[in-house]
Amino acid sequence: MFLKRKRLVMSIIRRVAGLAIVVLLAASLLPAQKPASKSAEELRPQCLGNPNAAVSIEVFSDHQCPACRQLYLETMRSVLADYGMPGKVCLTYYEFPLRAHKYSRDAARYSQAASRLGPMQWIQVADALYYYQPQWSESGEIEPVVAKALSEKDMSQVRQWLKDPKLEAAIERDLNEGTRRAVRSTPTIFVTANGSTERFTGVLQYPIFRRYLDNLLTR
Amino acid sequence: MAARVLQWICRLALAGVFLLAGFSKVYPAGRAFSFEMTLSTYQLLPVWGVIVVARTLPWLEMGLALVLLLGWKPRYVVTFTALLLTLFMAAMGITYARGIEANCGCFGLGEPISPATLARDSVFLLMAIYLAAVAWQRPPAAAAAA
Repeated sequence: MFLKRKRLVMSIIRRVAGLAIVVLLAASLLPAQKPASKSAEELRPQCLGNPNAAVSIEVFSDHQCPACRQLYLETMRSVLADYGMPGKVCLTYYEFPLRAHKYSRDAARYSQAASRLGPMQWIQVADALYYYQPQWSESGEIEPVVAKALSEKDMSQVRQWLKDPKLEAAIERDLNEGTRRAVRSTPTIFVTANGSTERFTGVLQYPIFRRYLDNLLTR
Repeated sequence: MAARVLQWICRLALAGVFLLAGFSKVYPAGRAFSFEMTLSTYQLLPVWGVIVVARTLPWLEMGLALVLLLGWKPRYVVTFTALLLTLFMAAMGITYARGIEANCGCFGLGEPISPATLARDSVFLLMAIYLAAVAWQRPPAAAAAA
């Protein structure tokens, strides 16, 4: 009786061990799973504000375009402070470097790298890039401008990320998104609320944008 | 007779255009705020000017459509229409020449100012000028009858 039970236990152990070996072998033969979701998350443009807000503002912008500079400095910074940071809206900036601008793509790379550090770092770099746009547009010297906005540690991280091909992929992804939405010039702004999207091109005055957003938020 | 028919066509076309233009700026609810945004991109008016124009222009356009259809005071109405269209053309032309990427705002949203929009509005302006010229050539009674 005791021997019979011992044999039964041994046979179960053997079967379980055999099954485990087969599973391990099969797993080793399968292609390695890439951390795809993490990469996609990393490449997605950041929502500045509340991702679940009822109003979403998407801006397709080029760091070297003077109208984009005016829109960012005179309007979007206030939108960010009054509506984005308090979580009333979700503001997303897409890179849309135009071919006509020599240093746009380089500036977009720095911006993308800064966005990986976090939203505050992206804002600091965007502030610097737009504010000093007249200078670096002439000289092409973008790095000193970005360095002014970031700490030494963050800047060395940005320098490392600049070599990452994922950065280019992120810019291409934004460009493709713009092309899909028939963006032909910058800045182009899409405002989505209550299931409908409205499109505006050009520079908007902040008091007018504020009236528009307040109306959307009270509906 | 052919001239009369042409004048009727021009009047009806202009009335239809103004009715559509005005209506698209106030409907659906909240569209007036969108039209303020569109006017803002022209960068021609201060904030208060944008608000005043955005709030009055749609009703002016619809009123103009009505009086064009009714044929009331044709000399003054078609002259005013021509002047208003000249103003639109000037605003769009200046904005386009400055290289500003603005929405036209003519019939709702999402139509940027382009040579096509300028050409289309030029046709409306020519219609209005033609009607005004005819109205001022005729004696007032005949103009009213037309």
